[in-house]
Amino acid sequence: MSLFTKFEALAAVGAELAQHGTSPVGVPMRRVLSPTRAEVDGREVILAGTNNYLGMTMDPDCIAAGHRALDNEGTGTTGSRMANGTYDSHLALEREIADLYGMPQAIVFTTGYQANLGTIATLAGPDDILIIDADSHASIYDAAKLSAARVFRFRHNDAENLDKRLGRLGDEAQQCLVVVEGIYSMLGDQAPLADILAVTKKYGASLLVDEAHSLGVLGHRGCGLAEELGLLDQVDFITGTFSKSVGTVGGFCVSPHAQLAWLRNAMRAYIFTASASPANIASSRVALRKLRDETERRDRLWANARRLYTALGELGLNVGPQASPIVAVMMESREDTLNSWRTLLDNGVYVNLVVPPAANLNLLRCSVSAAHTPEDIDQIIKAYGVVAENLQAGQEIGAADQACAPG
Amino acid sequence: MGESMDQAQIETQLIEFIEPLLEKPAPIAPETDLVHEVGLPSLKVMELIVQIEDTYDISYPLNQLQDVRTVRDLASSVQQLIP
Repeated sequence: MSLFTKFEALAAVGAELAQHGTSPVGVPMRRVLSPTRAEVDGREVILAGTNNYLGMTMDPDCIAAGHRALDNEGTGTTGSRMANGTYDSHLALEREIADLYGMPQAIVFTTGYQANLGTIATLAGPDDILIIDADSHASIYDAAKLSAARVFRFRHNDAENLDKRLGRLGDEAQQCLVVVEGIYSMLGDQAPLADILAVTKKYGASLLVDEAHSLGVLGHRGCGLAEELGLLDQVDFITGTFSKSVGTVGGFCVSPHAQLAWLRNAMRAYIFTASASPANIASSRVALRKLRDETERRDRLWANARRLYTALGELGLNVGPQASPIVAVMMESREDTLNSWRTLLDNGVYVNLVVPPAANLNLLRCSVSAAHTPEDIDQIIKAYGVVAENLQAGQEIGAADQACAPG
Repeated sequence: MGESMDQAQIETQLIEFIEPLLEKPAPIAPETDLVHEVGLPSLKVMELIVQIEDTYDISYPLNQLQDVRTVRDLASSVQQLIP
């Protein structure tokens, strides 16, 4: 028994995944060629698992703004936002996010993970209650762990199940923060936000929506699911990340409640970390403007997403519950998932491999970008076609084996 | 349903829930340490909690799991939550 003993099972999974060549965990991108192309394993592949929804990482204006900030303000701030890490550009970005959402103010964090950790763990204190969707992202689970609140989960996307939990709390429900996501990162399904909001309000609880995967993807201005459904003015808190549609690194929280300002000096994930670098902030500011104004990016994203979702369904693959820029294929076993992941890579397509314990599912998780061309989508569909054929052949062999097996 | 249940009944029921969640079948007793003896992975613990909440119609706080080692600990915390 040593400090390392408890990691043996996890290490065994890692070793199993790395058994046949490049491990799907932490695939090295030798050279990044564009938002949708990189050199992996000595060959050029289409990137279809990067969450780069709007293709913003290589936008010339975002890059130029980053260059200028790097030249003028240096490589890093070397300080917390509370000390020497607040530059004019951090404040300008906060104003711009608040304006984008039409809310009195925003707080910017160094990463999206910290946005959830800081906001959720601080808002929900020792006398409060957190109720989170069971399929929440790890940053929400970690925030729940860090928070001194009592924590309950409700069944994924089930407003009735949430109603039951809030109902059991009685008057305490008013001290409750409910947390959901706009688009869930594994299967790409959206929260039934109108129903969840109605239940939350019925008991006088507050609602936080994490729009990490829906920022830039949903809503006319790209604010996310709450904007798409016309509910922006009713949600109590919205968090989000810059690491997907914005193409940089960072996170934020906005709220219609002016008291959000009070949290700034209470959130440890905001205070005890260096603020984002000037180049990162400068690129994020330009990207957010483009995210709002260049609606054609959203149109292209959704055209690609719908096409891929429909095509994979037609191949007989077990896709997620609704069309989304996250196109997930649910697999029967870890072995099938791993083999299929390699087949996709061999056919020039990189997607994410998801197996337990990362999630309670075996998945091939594909994310579509506005920067994918129709030809890229053709090639992705073709590669999945090979996967579907192999799976079909495997099932037939399995069935034949069973038929031949001595009774 | 909860009012008439004593802790022993809950323990028996919990053992029935836990057994199918194990990767390798193992005998489970009220004193069995769920993490250290049978290695119940965190995702399976979550499945177990869902089953418990549905069966007893309670909300089980996740933070309470920190204090749970054995089936008996779990049964006792469940019993306290049954109104």
